[in-house]
Amino acid sequence: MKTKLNYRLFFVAIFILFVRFFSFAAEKWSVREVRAAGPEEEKFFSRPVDLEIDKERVFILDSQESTIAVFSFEGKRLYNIGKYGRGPGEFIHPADMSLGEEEIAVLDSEDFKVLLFSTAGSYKDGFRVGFRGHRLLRLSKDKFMISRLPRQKENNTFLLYCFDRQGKWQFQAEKVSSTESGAYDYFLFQHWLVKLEEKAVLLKPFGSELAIFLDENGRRTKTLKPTPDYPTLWFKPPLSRVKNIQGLFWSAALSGDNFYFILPGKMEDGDLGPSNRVAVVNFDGQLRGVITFPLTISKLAVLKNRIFVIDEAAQLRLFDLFKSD
Amino acid sequence: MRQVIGVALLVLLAVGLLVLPLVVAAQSNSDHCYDEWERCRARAFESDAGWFKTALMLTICDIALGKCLLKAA
Repeated sequence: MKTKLNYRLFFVAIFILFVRFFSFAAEKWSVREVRAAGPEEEKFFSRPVDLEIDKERVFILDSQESTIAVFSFEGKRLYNIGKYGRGPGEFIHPADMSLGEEEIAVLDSEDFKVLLFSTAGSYKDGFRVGFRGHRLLRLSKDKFMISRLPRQKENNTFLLYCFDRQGKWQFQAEKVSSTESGAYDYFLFQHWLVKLEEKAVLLKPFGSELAIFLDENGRRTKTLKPTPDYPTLWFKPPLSRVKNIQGLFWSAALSGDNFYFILPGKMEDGDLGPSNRVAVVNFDGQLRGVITFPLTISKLAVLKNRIFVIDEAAQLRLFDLFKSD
Repeated sequence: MRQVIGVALLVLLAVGLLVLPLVVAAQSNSDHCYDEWERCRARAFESDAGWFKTALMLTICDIALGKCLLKAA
């Protein structure tokens, strides 16, 4: 009787483990390239620094060409937004952009300003920020978050600054102190900003914090750490006094209920850079799947099953996502 | 006594007038150094080079900053 009960318990335990394993295991997803409309040569860029999408268009910020190239979802080049200069609607060195409802904000890190355009391309407005911004996030029509990396040996400063549409300072968040090394600061403070319901999420490619959710005043509400099944890359940076660092992603995007992290990998020259794999993580930090591309990608934007990527040759390419059998 | 104080004040004023522009110049020179360093750092970030190369570029930016600050001093 006792042996029979033990057998039953054993099988129940095995069944529970089986169900847990298959319900939590990350799925393997793959993609199929979609042939884009329009001439191939129009899809190459000099220095694409950001890729974003709305419901019908793809926007690519090219910092070298000082313009935003706009494409249809089929990959046809439609028009450009902005040009080089110091006048209204012109920028010297666009470092980042952020897309909102019918409006696109561009951060000029050389002229210390934010420019606002309609998504159709006309210049609307702008404001000065008084420092060299690193990343920009348009939280709402009247709320813009700009990040600033600390200067060497700068203590107790802030990473994030929020402004209204007139350029009036609202609040600052994420206190930081720099080290003596710019390279070490890079591994400490490098980040991406994405928007979730008019609030900012700070994504960190290095360290133990993958995503930091902030409230409307920039205070931390939740921190996601990589789960044990997240494909982390540990490496020793070329810095004395610095031990191993946890490399989490190359670049990232948010779409629907998931973050999409381009995973780091070994490049041809032995350096660590982007790979052909993307980790899909939900807002609870659970790894939902890993997408494998046929080529290395450096930037991506996702809308349902359509994925827009910039490849290693700085070319825009389109893919459809499907789950493998 | 009054004369001595007057002379001392004049000397201080003259020294102040001589030194102040130098201090301001040094300050603006160091500001220029940090400005160049930030520009160098921004270029390293957007180069899309791998993590090791980026770290190397940032170290070069630091060395250039050190040199610039030494010159400005």
